[in-house]
Amino acid sequence: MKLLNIFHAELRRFIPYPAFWVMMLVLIIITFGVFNMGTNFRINGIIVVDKTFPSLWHLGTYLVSCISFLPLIILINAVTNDIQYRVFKQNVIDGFSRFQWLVGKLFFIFFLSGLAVIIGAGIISFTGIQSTPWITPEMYFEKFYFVGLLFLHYVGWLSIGFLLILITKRSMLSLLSFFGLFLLEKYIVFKVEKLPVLLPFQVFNELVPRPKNELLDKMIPILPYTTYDLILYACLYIPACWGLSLLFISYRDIR
Amino acid sequence: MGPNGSGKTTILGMILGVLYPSSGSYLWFEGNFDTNPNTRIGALLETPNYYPYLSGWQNLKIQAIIKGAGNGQIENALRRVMLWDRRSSAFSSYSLGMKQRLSIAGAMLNDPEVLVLDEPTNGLDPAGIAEVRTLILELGKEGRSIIIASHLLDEVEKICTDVCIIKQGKLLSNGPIMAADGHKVMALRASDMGLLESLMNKFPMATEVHRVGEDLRVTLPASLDPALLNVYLFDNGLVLSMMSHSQKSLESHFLSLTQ
Repeated sequence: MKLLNIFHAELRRFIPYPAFWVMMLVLIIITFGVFNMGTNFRINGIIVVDKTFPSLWHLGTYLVSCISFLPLIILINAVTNDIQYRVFKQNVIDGFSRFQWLVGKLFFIFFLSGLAVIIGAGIISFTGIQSTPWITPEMYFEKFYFVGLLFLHYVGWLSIGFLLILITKRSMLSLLSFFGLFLLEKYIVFKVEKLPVLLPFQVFNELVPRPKNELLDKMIPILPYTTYDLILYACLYIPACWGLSLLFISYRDIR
Repeated sequence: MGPNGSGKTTILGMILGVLYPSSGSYLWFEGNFDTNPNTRIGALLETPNYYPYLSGWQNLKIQAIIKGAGNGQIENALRRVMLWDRRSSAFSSYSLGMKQRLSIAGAMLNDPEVLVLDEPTNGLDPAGIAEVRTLILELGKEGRSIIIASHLLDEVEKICTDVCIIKQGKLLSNGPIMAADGHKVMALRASDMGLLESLMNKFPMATEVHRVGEDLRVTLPASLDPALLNVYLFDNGLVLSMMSHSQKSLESHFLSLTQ
């Protein structure tokens, strides 16, 4: 089977799915709302939320990364549909291998992450162009790499989510287990002073770290890892999630 | 064929690659295939498996992409199962019979060499059962092999040429439908039933002879030409008033094996 056919079949599942577009609309509205809660927020006359370029790429992608649960809900909805309505089973009966089905979902995650990033980048651009008094291409693109990091953040989050969907097979259960794991990891990080490795959520969240802020940095210090370290970790954790997913569906009966 | 829980769907699930067998093996098309053999098989396993929010056409389109079939084949399949006019309606709005027919249309995409149908008339009303039965017979006449799992004796007798009877995953019997055990049962009637019974008891190929109501039921080899039996009785001075295959043959055989 050609790779293009796998992508084509995947597109045919969610392009005509009204709930997918409703969720995307909700994503746009919430992202837009997050950016317009306050303009150039100040404390004692000092700007603590700077909505001008180039720093806006960092702040903007950080804010967008805080609402990653919305693409996660879209993913959970789409994949549990395949399991609940036994379409996954029918696809295998019709000639898809389990691996090909997985490749289709990987494509969906890339598509979803890409779309969410485009929405976020679009709103950041809109806000930044309005807030920045004068703007040059150098200023605009100086910290544009944060958009790439945001994409990696989404792919990482959704890859963990996908693995949990395959394990639990239920939408609510997968969502609860996702946030359960998230909180468990936070607890471990809080309790264990020096962890020998970075944990998955830590990595994906720190890809787009909280922008430097004197007040907040005193309370919650930023991790002393370079972006390259985090990208390397992410590039290990994402394939690990997909490898486990493949292992999981390869040895399990489809009922 | 087998009673509920005998393993019919499980066996089909295994040969279609959705369930893993703990032992044993199977081979499609004598191993002659380059791509996934399932693309050459049309199958309906248990219930129709489609997205409820997509239309009949949109659901079949996904199947067609996987099987490598074109839009023309989707149209042909939908017309054949009489769902062309409802192709744009959401799958959730279909009746059970329509859902079942859509599944059969999906199985027919890409002109499969083999059709695997699990309880194809499950949950249908009498008209729906007749429609599906006619469709299966037509598809069979086109030269396809059709594997049907069912616990409905009547359905199997009307549709199938060969039958395998299983119970708890074990094969109990297999062979042509009128001779699942290599025999067939004939129902005979004559004006002198006493003479008929006496002659049949002497007939060397009759393995069982007993009265059931007004008929004499005789178990004979499946290969026996009924004309030979008629000649034998006529030569012995008896004219039959009725001779037919007993509709109860499969049922009695099925029950004797599975109970």
